[in-house]
Amino acid sequence: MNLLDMASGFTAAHRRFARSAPAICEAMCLEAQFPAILGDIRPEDRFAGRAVWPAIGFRLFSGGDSECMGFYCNRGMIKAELDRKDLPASDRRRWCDLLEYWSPRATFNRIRAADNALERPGLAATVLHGNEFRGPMIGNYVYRASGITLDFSRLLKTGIPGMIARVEKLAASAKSPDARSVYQGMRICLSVLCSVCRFYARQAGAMAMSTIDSRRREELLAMSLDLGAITQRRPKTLSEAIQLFWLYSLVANADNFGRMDVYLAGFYARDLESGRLDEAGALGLLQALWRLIADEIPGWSGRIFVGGLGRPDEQASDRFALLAIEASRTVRKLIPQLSLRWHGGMNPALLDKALDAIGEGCVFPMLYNDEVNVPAMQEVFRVNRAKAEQYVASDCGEFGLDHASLGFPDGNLVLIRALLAALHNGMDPKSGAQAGLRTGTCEELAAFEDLWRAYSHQVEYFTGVIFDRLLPMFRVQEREISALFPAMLTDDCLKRGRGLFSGVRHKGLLIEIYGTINVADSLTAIKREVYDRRAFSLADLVRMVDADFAGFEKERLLLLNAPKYGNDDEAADAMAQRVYSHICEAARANRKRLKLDFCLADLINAGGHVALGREMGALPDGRKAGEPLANANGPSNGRDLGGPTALLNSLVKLRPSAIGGQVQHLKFNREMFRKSRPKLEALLKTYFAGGGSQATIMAVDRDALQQALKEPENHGDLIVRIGGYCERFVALPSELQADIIARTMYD
Amino acid sequence: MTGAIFDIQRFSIHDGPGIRTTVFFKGCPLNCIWCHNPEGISRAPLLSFRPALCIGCGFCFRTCPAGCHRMEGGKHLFDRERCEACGRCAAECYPGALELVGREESAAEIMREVLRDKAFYDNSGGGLTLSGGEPLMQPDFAFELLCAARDAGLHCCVETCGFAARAALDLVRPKTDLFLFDIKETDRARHAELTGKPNDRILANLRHLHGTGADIILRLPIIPGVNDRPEHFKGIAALARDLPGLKGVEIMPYHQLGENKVGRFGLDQSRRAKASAPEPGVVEGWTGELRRRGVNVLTA
Repeated sequence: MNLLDMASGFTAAHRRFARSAPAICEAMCLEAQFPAILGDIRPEDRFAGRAVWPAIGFRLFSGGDSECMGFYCNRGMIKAELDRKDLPASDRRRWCDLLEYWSPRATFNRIRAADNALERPGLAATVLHGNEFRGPMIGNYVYRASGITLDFSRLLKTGIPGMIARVEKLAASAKSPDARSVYQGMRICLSVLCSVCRFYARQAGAMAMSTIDSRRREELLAMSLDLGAITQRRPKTLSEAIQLFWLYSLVANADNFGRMDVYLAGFYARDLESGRLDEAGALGLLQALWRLIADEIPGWSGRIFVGGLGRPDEQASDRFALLAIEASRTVRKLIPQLSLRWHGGMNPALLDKALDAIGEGCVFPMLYNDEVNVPAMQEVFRVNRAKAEQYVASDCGEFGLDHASLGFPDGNLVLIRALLAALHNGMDPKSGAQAGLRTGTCEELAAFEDLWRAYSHQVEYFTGVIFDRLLPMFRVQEREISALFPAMLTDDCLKRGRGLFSGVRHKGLLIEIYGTINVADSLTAIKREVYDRRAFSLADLVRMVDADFAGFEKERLLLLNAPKYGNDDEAADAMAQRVYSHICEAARANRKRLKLDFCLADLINAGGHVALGREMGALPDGRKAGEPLANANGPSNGRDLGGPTALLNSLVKLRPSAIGGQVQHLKFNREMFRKSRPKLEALLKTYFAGGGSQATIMAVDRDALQQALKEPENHGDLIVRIGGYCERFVALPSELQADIIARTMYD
Repeated sequence: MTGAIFDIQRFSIHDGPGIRTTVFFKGCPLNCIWCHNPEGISRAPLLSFRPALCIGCGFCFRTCPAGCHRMEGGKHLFDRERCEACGRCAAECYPGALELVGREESAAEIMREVLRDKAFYDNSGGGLTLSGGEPLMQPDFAFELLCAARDAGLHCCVETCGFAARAALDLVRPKTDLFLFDIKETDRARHAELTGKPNDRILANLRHLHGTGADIILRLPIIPGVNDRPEHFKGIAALARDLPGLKGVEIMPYHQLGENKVGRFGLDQSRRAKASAPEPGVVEGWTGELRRRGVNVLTA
């Protein structure tokens, strides 16, 4: 089907059911969308399920483009069609009609309209929609919907027929018309899923008939049989289970996959036991799934968790986890982002296998420490221990509870700009515009605590404004999007007869925080040189910073040489703790006011620290204009001079008990893995035992990065980690490459 | 009591088992032509000067009581002859071009820093290493530090060149879990030539220490073209046969890190070995040769 027919078919369904209950309308639109938009099985596929997202359709969220959320109309794609010289006039007219129809109806536009209708008193007007860091902005916000993982255990245990029976039973006993319409919508969706399975079963069957290669024919026939079987009963084998899991993920736009070793371990164990599969055969299936994920899922998503507390069959799950690590080690794609949860009592073979993979230059698995994260998640999400044991991270590393929470960073707050505002009595140093609150002139900030108060007022104010700006998005999502596929596998939507946004058990908002460590190091330097030693006045400092230290190199070095976070220095680390706890609490303070389950700060910084740094002038920590900001809660590049033990001792001081997500990058010389492996293991275990939450470890040869700059063609396989996602080093823009090279390497 | 040290290095993973912190003592009785820590030879502090880092702020000119620093034709000139290493210029030098290397610290101060990584030692079988310079040049201070470390439950290593008073060795021995004992050259005359002292006292101390049942690893700095001679390897093998209680030997291949330090500290370059780091595969060759001669060579 061509683009226009797809868009028209979808729109016709929407037109027809626009007056029905939202859940029914959405389900009927999905029926028009699937299997129409599905892509063909490719020669390398062992599982069916690819999508070609059309210009107009429904999806939970596309990741990159916030216009592609809910009912969406991708103006970029349509514009490309309209720009085609050979487009017949009738088609042009049809496209224009479609644009006109969707303009007031697309979810993104609905949110924009609701947002624009809100008043923006005073400074709130400087907090704008968009994900860019331009001008004097201290904060901004974007519309997103992500950070969910689905209850695949339930899907795979119940199977499609079981799910249908369940939904029908609930529909029959539902009291409210809203709930009834949700159940009816879900019932339609499950039929859509069956058609998707049958569509691919036929396709695989037909491909098998025309395939000469006998081995491929066998594979396609098996695929076809699996696809037929899962419409009839619950899956029995690993390949059936993966097939059902994958197709459901595709239609639900579930881009993160939760605790895979929990929901697939049983199938793997049974297949091994019955002799249906051996380890190599199972690895082949997983490798095929890994490649499919790499093709179909956006690069910052695709989280898979293995290991950790709270898994019903630990032994079987561990066996699957080992296989998953082997799949990541051998496939070497940027995603899936395999993550291993560590705890003191875990099977040591898992960490061993993980370090083998990491030491070979595979960034995965990333390591998460249950001993710290489980109690932290109890506080963050205010749940009991058993529930906190089901924590996962999505996308770049935002924490959530497996199939029970929804929350994603929708806003950005640049803490260091809040500090600059405090130092300039609210004025933006570059433009001279009033960007922040008037919290006092330098002369009025007579004591360090006065400066702290000025800074914290700015932060608290802008945190509140950003959260406020996101409420229209929430309201529109709740009212107008049911997201029935994700809802069916998210607690407690099914039980409550609600869509995803109104039914999810824990709902909240996150804001991404930039420049945290620059604030801490700046405050440490200011406190020491301005308030304690009185080397110069605060007003002098501000003048020097605004002049990018021109003519003040000595003073800059004085500030640069002040203690810095990341060196196990008590004063510098205590300041970092103060800044960190303050922003965490400033975010959390909004929860009750906004009637949400959580409002959290999140420190991951996928690359924005470099983009922001390029725009920004000098800072009181001695950083010069244009240099990158410190990444997330890591030290400023090159300022961690005390070796890895000192760095790790600093990192653990930022306790994650109120944070929505954080990552710790550690760059080691690969020699360490080859020659000092037991010491490296001891280093990690001590870090975890001492309170480390997370470790993302890059093992690179000493000169590998420089070599890759010189000969990119020979280093295409060098994968590096930036904030919350992976990229091929040679594919990065040069300033991000420089940022990664500048990270301290430990050996 | 305080002692003279010039560095405390955390996450030291090549000076004894596990993850360790190494305290570098200032002062050494030898003067090896390949010395990689030349700033540790003198007991007194030394001023390090790296002209490349100088920003020409002129602060040092004004603070130096001896008038060592001046600017000529945009170039910072430093008259080391007059320098008394008072460190006042370094305290004012924010770019770090001038740095006073060597300081007096108490055992308690040092232990405060050492103990910050205690958990890492405990999990890796690591601890504290005294190195230098030569820790046995300050035996009472070394003893105090070792006692404090032992009280805190740390594994303790002493790295020594062996050129020390017997009494000093006997003082620290009961508080030391492992000696890293350097053997630089087995030939007596060559030893004197390369290090400035003959090796009789060193070998006698080694035999004495071995006789007490102490745990010892021999460390062999091997410098290409200087002591990578078959006779030396043969001598090592003979020594190892004589000392059956040895835990093994470690090869310390030459590296050039000490090279640019010589300039920074204005030290005499005339005696210095013109050597370069061994080519790939060479260290494996040395290891093989020693092993063929029956020596237990330990590798990291």
